[in-house]
Amino acid sequence: MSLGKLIERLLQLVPVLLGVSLIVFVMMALTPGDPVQIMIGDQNITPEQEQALRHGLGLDRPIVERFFVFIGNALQGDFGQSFYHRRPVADVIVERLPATIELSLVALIVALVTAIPLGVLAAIRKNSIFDKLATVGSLLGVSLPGFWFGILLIMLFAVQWHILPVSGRIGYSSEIETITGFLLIDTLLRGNLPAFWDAVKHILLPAITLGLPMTAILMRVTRTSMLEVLRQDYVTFADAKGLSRTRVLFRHALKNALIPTVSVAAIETGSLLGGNMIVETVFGWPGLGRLVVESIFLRNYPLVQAAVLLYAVIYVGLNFFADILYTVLNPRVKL
Amino acid sequence: MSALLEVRGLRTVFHTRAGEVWAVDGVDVEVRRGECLGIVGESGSGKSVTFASVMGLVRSPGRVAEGEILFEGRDLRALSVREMRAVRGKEIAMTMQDALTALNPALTVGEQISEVLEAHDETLPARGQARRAAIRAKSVEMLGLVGIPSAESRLRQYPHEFSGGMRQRIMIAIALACRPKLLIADEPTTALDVTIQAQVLELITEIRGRLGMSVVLITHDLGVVAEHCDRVMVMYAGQVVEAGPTGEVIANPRHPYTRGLLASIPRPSMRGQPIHPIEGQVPDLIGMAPQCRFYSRCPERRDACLAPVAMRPAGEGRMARCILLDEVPV
Repeated sequence: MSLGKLIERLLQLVPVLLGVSLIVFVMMALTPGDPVQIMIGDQNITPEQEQALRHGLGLDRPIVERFFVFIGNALQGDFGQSFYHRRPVADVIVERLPATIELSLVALIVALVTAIPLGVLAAIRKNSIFDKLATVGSLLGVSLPGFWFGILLIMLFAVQWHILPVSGRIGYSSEIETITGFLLIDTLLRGNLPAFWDAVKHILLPAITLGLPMTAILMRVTRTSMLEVLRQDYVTFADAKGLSRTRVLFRHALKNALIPTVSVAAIETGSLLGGNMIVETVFGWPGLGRLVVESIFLRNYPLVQAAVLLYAVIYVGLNFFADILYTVLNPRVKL
Repeated sequence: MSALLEVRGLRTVFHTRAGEVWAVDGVDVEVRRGECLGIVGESGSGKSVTFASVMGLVRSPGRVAEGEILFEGRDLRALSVREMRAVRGKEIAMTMQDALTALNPALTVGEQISEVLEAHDETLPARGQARRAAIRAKSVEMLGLVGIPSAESRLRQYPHEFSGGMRQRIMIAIALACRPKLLIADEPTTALDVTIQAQVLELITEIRGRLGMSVVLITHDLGVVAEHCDRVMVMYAGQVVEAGPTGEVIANPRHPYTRGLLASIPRPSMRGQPIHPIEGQVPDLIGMAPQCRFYSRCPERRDACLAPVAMRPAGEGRMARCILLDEVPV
């Protein structure tokens, strides 16, 4: 990866971010509902007070002006004040981000460790009962909506069987002082094993729900690319060399078959962002996704705008990362 | 010379939707110690499948149905998967047509050589630094043997960083790493340009002499056979149609198909004259009647050819599958 390519990629971010800001801005403006009215609620205030509130939030200015003010401030790293929290948006987001990243990473790991072995197995046992079940399973995996599947899991594991907690990130009794913001790591750093176990139990259901569609997709990708690779001459040649079955399958075949899987996984991680909003809401997970959903309902414009910008940066970053991974895994490609 | 490999009555079938295809139908092969046997035939004649069967590399939907594959007297078909794995790469090695696709693009050349040694070489130190060093030294030695300069530093490179001829040499180095007794070279030159072809064939012939191994050279180029093989076997539609010492078969072919093949080779002395291809096409093997398989294309066919035709002696050390041999005295 040359420096030139890197700079080119970074420059590509500029139009993407501008476009995303504009779209979000317009969509929020077009959404019915007035943040000031929502804030006032049932309280009795005078029109003057309302006007003052509106002026304080900058909402009395025309929308075009508001957009340019937003862009200008954003360029200086100022994303404004959250209407609801009365604190800088950036602070609020940074507070919530670790929970979301932690959930996404665990979902990603769950997806990878289940999808790859299942995909390989389905490819080796092509057309077997297992392969057919896996096909049906993956079809379900992509089709089941997260809110439905999440609630189903809650009903079974939490309500019916009392094995896992209904919602939240950790039980009140296990709460600890944060270090990194990642509870699974913090509890271990503090040497508090019961709290760690509690955190694991809390993250399990949301991570599975979030990772399910990705598991399904990655399994299909792994199966397809594994089947493709197993037909290649180099697999026959590896067999002709008298290598063990394990070595042929995992060193020769899987190493090549994983190239598409890993690329797809990196790109699909971006789609976890969208899934987060639903899953965090269903499981009461105190992350960015739920914050964004709440903020949309409250017409908390600055927060939604900043969060969506962040999503865009992450998404573009993941795509970029996928390209780099592809070159690392595939010695034939030089970017 | 005693036989190193003896294949008797080999039949390999592929189950397809349209029906069963007997890609190899009653093939006998004998490979003697130290010799180079040429296998000639067009695509689909069963020459590659015959030796994939020997190696135990026929994949589903294919299956070796009948026959004996005796290697140094041991029936390879009776071996367990594990035992067969110990034969492959160690006793019998194979090179494939196109080294570009046969070498793994994601593994370094060094790893692809050393893993064969790792799997089979019992002379290596048992473990640790010494073993790694010995494997490395042997890998370098093999690359040197096939004429790859500065082998030491090239072990870390990937196949795509080598030229076509170099890759072919690397594949040969891998095949020969454990000093096999038999090398099956499946179309070793088809993917190469003419000057490199000659180099690669010279290399195989030279190493054969040096290591005293036997070589089976699968090709559709009779010129290559004439230059490098002691004996030749001509295959057509899943059967052997003629076998014998190369010089005699080429000088005096006894089967009409062999004659047709020889007549279709362009020669400098025939410049300006049309070349003579064999008329017609290879028959569909599905539901083939038990007749002479060359019947539909044979210029000398007669009604008696519609009965099954067996191989018969055709002179000193020669066999052919043609009823005309019964009519014309040898």
